Amino acid sequence: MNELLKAEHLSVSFFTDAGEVEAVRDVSFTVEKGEVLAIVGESGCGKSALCKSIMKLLPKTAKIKSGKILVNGADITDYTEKNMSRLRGELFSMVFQDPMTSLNPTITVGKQIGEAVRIHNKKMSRGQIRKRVIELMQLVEIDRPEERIRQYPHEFSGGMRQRAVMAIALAGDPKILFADEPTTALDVTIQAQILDVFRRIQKKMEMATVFISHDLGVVAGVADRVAVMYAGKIVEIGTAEEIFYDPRHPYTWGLLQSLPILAGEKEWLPTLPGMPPTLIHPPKGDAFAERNVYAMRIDYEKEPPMFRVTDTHYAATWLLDERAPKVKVPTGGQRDGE
Amino acid sequence: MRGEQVLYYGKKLLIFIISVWVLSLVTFYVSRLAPGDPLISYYGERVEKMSPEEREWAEEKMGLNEKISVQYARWIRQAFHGNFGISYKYKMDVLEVLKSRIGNTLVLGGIGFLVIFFGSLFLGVVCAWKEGGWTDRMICKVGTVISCVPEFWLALVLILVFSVSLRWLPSSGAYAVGRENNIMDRIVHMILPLTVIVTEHLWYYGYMIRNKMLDEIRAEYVLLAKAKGMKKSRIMLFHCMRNIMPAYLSIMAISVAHIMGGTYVVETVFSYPGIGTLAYESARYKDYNLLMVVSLLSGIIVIVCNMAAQIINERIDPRIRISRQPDMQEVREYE
Repeated sequence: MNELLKAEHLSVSFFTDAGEVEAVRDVSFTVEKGEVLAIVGESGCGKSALCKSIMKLLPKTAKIKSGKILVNGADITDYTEKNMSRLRGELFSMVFQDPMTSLNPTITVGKQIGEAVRIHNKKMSRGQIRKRVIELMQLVEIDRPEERIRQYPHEFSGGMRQRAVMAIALAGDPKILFADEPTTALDVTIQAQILDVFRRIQKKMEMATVFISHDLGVVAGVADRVAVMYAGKIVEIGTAEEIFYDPRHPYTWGLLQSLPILAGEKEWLPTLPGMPPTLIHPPKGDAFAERNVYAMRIDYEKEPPMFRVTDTHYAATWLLDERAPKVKVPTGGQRDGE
Repeated sequence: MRGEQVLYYGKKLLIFIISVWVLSLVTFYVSRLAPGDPLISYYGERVEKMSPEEREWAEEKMGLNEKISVQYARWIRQAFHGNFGISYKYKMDVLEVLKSRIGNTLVLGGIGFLVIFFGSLFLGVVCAWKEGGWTDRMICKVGTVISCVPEFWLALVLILVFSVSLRWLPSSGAYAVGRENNIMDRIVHMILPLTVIVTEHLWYYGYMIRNKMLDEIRAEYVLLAKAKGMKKSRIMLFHCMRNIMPAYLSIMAISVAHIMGGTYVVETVFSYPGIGTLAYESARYKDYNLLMVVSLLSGIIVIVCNMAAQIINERIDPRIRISRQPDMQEVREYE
């Protein structure tokens, strides 16, 4: 069995003073060995909450309401903090969005990576740890590691810090890496570099990766499979090929249309009108209906199930129901030679 | 680098000297301009029977008939030779008077400070650890109520309960007559004053620690440390506490003045023979020379502690240290 991680009907809510925020609603997906699954969606659609809930890194106000998380077939949904801390770093690890705040400013970078090494290899001597830290720094392509090992995070540039964070995440040889918008806080040229490093390491270590991003352009270059999230739900999931060339959900159409690179010669960049709904009281029916130009009456009444397109491609939209009218797909289908 | 350091400490020294000088000037003028008769502290009740001529003679002898500026100039000149004058009340060198009292204050204030230092760290960390739990809520509530009780009142209540009603503990002094060298006796005498000093300040600093720890716990780096598999206890100890230490040390260095002030009040209430009672008496009886020395000593302690706080801060936190040397690292990065 190649299924490393499986989420089954996972629902996560934050219980705040303003009420229950349903951040993740009935999400199911699998991650297989060595593959990159990208999760895309607008800010606040629950991408981060989904990954953090799997690693149990959410604050106390968040609770897994229902569903299961299976790792190699073992249910870890009810694991205690003690058990989780054993899994973290070794089974799965995480790279965060903002490298400026995710390193401790008062501890040298080398020591912070070293800590991560030591947690997973308790018997290592100081010299061995140092050697491994330098190896890790070389792996993430930090130049002059012998010198940089003694430096503090503020002596690192943004891109270098993100590499250091990656080195920390890789220290325990994780089977799954969650990358929570790892390039979002960096400027464009650095983004490209970090993505390169990321891809190289991913290939080399054959580590399954869940790559969160709001940028389909970034995703196109790294992902094997793509899951599109909207208002706490996965609305479409498929191979990268299927999502980019044969998208079925109107939200995915909207996202693709608003990519500058696909807008071509058009004078206006198409945008998705409106805002995602708040997740305190998610709307009845399809949460996307309000912004959906193809919305039908049923969209306001009943949530669409996941319709099967192919064995790997599923989408939650009533447009795939056999009774729905056929609509002309405004994007995708731009495969070469078509 | 060396020259830079000399300059750095040179500047600090200069600020120190100026501060002490201003302090001495202000104390000198204010004490002399305040109403009251310094002759009383020297001659006691005899002053009332003195004729105007005798008074004049006495003032001239004590150098109090000249202009304040002249008196000040003379005081400074003598101070530089280590002569701070005599105490009017005790009729001996003020430094001798100080010497006989300072030990008591150092022991009382020092022990109080240490208990507050470690106690508040402990309380703050425990509360942050159990944030929102009943331990945290209890400590927060009880701590806030207790630290709002005025010192002198708490002292009086404790005396009433433990000395007057229960007769367990002595109400005043540092030792029973004739038992100066009995350590147990001294400890027994210290219990009540120490209790007041500690309870008054403990939660003030404990609460600061708690909030600082909570700020740290919510920082993103804690999440990364967790994600790499670190246990909560280790994260709190090696990351969060480390990060609040510079702030805490500088707060505690400044708190020396705060706690010292508290000690003075407590000493006065418990008639504990320390610098605090001395300061109070010398101000009350216009014992000018003694007052000068006591306030200068207190002032120097405050200034030194504040400076220490700053230096500690810059030593521990690499980000502050770097701001003194131009960003060489960044320059190198672009080479």
